[in-house]
Amino acid sequence: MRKIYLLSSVLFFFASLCAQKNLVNTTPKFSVNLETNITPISSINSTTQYCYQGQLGIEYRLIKNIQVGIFGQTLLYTGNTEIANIDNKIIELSSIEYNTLGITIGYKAKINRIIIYPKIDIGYNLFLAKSLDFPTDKKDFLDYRYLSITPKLNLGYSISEHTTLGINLGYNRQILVFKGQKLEEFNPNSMIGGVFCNIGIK
Amino acid sequence: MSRSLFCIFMVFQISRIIVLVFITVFSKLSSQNIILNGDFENNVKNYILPTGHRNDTVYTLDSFVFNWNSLFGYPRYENLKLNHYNLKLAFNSIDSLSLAFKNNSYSFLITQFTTKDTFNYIPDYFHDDTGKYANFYYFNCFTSASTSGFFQLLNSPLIKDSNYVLSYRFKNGSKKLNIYNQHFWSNLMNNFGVLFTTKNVSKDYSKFKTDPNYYRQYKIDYYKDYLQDTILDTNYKWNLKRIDFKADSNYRFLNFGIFRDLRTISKKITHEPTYHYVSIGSSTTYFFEFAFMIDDVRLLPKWQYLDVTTDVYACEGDSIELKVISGAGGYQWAKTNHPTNILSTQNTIKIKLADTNITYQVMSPYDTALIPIYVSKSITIFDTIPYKSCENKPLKISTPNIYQWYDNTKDTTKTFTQTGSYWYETKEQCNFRRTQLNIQINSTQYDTLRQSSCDSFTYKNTNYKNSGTYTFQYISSQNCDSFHTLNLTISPSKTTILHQFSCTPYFWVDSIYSKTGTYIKKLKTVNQCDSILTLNLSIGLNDKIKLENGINYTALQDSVSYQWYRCNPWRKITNETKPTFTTTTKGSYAVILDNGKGCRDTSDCIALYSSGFATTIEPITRIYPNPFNSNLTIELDKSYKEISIKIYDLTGRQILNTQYKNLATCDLKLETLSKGSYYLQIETETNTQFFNILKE
Repeated sequence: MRKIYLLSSVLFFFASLCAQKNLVNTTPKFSVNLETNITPISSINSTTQYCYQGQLGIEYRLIKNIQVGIFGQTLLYTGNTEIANIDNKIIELSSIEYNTLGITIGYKAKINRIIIYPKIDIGYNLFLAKSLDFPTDKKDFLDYRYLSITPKLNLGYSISEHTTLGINLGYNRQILVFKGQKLEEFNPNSMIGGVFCNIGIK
Repeated sequence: MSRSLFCIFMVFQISRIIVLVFITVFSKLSSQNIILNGDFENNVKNYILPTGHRNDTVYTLDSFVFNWNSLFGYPRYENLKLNHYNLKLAFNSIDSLSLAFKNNSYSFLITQFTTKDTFNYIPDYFHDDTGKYANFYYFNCFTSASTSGFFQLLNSPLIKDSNYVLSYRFKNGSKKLNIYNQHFWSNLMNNFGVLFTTKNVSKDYSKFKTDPNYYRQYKIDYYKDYLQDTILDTNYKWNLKRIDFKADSNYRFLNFGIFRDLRTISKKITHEPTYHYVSIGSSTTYFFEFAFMIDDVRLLPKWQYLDVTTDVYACEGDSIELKVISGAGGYQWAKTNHPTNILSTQNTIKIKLADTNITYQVMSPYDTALIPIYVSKSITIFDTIPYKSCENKPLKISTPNIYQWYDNTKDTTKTFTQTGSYWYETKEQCNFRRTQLNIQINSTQYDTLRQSSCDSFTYKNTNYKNSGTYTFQYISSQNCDSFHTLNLTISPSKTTILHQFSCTPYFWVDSIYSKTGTYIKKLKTVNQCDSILTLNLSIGLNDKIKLENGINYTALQDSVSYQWYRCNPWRKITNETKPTFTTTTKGSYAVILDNGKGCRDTSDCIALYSSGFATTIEPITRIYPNPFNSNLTIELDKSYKEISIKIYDLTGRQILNTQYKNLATCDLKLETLSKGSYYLQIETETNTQFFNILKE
């Protein structure tokens, strides 16, 4: 699922690049934002797993340079095949799923073709992990919920009137636990970095 | 007429001559009667007056009689000086009352009333123990008779406002005038005293007789010292009476005497052993025994008067010092029996006494004083006192009256630490008491017991747990403190506990131990005390795990590292490295123990929600040999249709997976397997078992 999601994001990215020639020279109100990041996850025994994270969002230029939007995000957990005891459940770490739905708000400044776009992502995180006994006991899994906030700085270059490519850098922080507990075995609080593509729609 | 007148004149003249002749003859006869004891006069005559005083002629009674009237001629006396040295008079006749005067000497009116018979009968009155006529009994009385009176005209009148001393001494043994008073004057009759006046009193004695304040009326200094009021101290031979006075006028007369109104005495008085009958005058008869002796009467200006050491009573061998306390000098000290041998010219003289009485005199230009010294002979009394004491209690002997110790010291307290004979002397009056001290100082006894023991030692009902020196004090047979010392050495028994872990059989002392357990060896220390060695030996790790409440796993081995595994499939639970772990995820779990020193062990797998210890499950399968080298035999309790055998390494990696069918015994060939620990999983159609195997 995650692989499909990433693949579609990349395809979408290249499609956007191909389509820029047709963009008009006006700034659209709506745009689609694609981001992919490398997210270090602090794991068991203080080891760090570098996981991949993809985000797809729709943004709306509210007034002038103020952008708001919503997004969906998923994490490709690349952790090892170890098992761990979490909340008295023997969890297969490779079964961890970490998805996010959220809103974003930012300020997009444009200097010539340079886009400076600081923004904040506020996400509702869903953590799912299956125990070893999950095949026989479907209730034996972890379902935790968090609220995270991720300030980011996107630096882009407008390759066309509607398409911007760039890099981003931010810091992901879980700030609330709605359900479950904070996990030492899966700690996403870390700096993240990646690339993004913004494509104007209308 | 003229013839008649001439005849009458002649008759008178003749009568006068006759009378005079008669008187003369009578007087001669009387004087002849007085001198009955020639020795007396001779002694008086031969008496030597002290230096500084006029050595006048000692008058005999004849002289007294002859010079009687000179008293009333008021001769001028240089001074008044009377003592028993320079004037010794005795009268054995009533007539002597009229004779006892001397007009040109140290004169004093002295009257002695006695009779001829009495004089002879009681000669002791005139003899003292030295054989001299020292005991005189003077009596002066004022009577109606004209023969008395003892006032003197001083050659050197007393100077107004000058101080004088009149001293006189009563000889011990003097007796008061014992006159029986029949009528009045009772307040005086038994009084006996000394009166002196310094004024020419009236001869009207009748006034004195009737008025005791007579002298005062005439403003005459009046002193009296009643002998009966002043008890004579019999310890002294002489009792000095002294009157210090200031002359309130320039007196020319001194009147001194014993006064007593005898006028009313009319009854005979007896007093044994003396008895005197005296008749004075023509109309009055007096009976009395005798008065007292005035030994010394001196009247000198105070600065001339020699005040010296009083009579000395001392012991033979004593060293004493005689001294002049006051009085103008210079001085000349001498013994009275050798007055010309001057011993000292200082105001003091130190002498060491012989064993006889002696009298020293000190002479000044104005006065002479005598100091009689009465020496008591000394004797020494011996006695012996034995003493016993102990070395640590030195004998302390106190003698407050110490005179001399054997070492010539005079300590009142002396301490003795050595056995021996000693002595000390005390002096009691003039006698010495020499006390011989036979002192025995018993030594303190010491003895020591050296004792060694283990842990404790009981001695004399006391348990001692520490080494040390203990001293006991006891009383020896000689009643002295003695000391017994226990020199104790306590050596402890030694207990050593050794906790030892070994993966392999353990060699300890003299044996090899292959099983976990506690082993005790009892040895001896160098002090022959018990040395108990305890070995708490653990062979291999305790691979037991305990499951509680179905979900709580606990490894029973302490102090090792832990890693929990999920069995079937064998997978490490990454974050479970503590001795305990809890899970609700179904499955079987085991733990691998590692002491970090090359010893590792794996517990049996125990399924969740089961109970008890993993090792309480009786094995149904035997695996041997274990450890193994190449081949491993698995012997099942029965034959199973499907047998799956898997081997995992400690990381959970599967090494071997092989299947057997319808077998009860499986032989595994594991030559290629590296040395180390592994986990063997045997799964049949009925159960799954895990075993630890070790390849060497």
